[in-house]
Amino acid sequence: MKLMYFFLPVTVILAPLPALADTVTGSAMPWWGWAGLLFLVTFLIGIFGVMAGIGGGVLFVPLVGGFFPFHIDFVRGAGLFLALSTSLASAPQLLKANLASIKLSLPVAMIASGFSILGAYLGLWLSALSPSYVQGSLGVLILMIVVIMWTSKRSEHPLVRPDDPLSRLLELGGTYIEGSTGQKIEWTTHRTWIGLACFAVVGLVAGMFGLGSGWASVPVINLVMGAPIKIAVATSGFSLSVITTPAWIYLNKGGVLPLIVAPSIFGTMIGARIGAKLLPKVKPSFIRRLVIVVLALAGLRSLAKAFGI
Amino acid sequence: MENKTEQSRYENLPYQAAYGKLSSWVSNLGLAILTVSFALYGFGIVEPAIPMDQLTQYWGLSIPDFVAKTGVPTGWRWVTWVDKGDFANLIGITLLVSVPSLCYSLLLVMSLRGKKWLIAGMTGLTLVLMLLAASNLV
Repeated sequence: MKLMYFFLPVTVILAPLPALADTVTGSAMPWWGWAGLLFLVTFLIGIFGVMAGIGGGVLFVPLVGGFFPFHIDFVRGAGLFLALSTSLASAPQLLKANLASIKLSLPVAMIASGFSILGAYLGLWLSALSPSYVQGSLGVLILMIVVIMWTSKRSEHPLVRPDDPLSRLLELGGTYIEGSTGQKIEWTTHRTWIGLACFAVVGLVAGMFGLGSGWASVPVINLVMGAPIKIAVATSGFSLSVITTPAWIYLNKGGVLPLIVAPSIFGTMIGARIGAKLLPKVKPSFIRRLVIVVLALAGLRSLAKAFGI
Repeated sequence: MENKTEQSRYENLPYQAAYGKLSSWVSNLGLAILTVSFALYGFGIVEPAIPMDQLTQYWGLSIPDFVAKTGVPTGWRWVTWVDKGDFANLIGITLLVSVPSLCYSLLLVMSLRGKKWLIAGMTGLTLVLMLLAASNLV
């Protein structure tokens, strides 16, 4: 197991380097080499995404956009499909356990999906002006996400004022059984207006960069709206399938390359299942720190690419 | 009345299980189709519209340039190209991206039947957004 701790992080960092070397030297790797490398990288993203408690999209877009030869347009499109697939894979179990809440997801996903469609058009427009604008803003955004991940706290059961009028109107709340204690927990939300406003921004960014939204929606639902962390993680994962609505726009514009999308979906889904099995055996704080380092490197790489370095 | 509202606030929607079942069924079907079509494409059993050795020259282009150079269809016109190995993959991919719309349609019907007007309103509005994005009209 100790060997694995060393091997996996090193592989995550080293795996894209042949691609980097290729772009530098201009040598041509065959298509199946790229597809295989993509599968390997997304497989590791699947493992680490689950263990670090973030979606795959936030790792996929900067890593693949920074180190692979594909245009950022195709990478963002694939990122949305990857986020969609991971959401679809987990949704049935989360809904059955009443951890993902349709009632909470409905207003959140409605606002975020509307703004994510706007974000997708904004991203394609920026990319048409110059791909370096997208790469540069992606780099800055990823470094901001690194700061959010480094500093944000989690609250198991936040204290909530139940008199929030919008929460009462929308009947935002529910009940679930806490697995560790068998206790029945009732929850509700507050600061609903602020939470929904945050989701407008989250949706815009998710659509613009194909990042998914778990990195932002979990803290918003947990810390701003006051839902328990388990509800926040599950509802965020479930809502993602709706927030990735701009995947249609990429599909309609001819921006979906099966050679990028299919290996990425397969790699992430297999990796996520292995990650879920490894989860009880690893230290989440170590994995989280490792992912933060990889993200920071990917963010810096995006910035470097934007400046033609 | 007030107590009834407070009570229903903590009740989970009864449609969660049905939503989960439909989502699971359609996404498994989409993944199965994608696996088969990608194998046929990858192993060269079905001829692609863009030969693999040429694809590597085009994937560094922006979407508009890629479409202009390769002449691939946009919008729903890909349906007429499904006999090509690469475009056959779009069947599974489209099925996957359709899952939320199908589940929201089910949710809309169930919430209308259950007279949950607010739930039905939000579901209907989101469904319109999804269908607009899917239609290629926006």
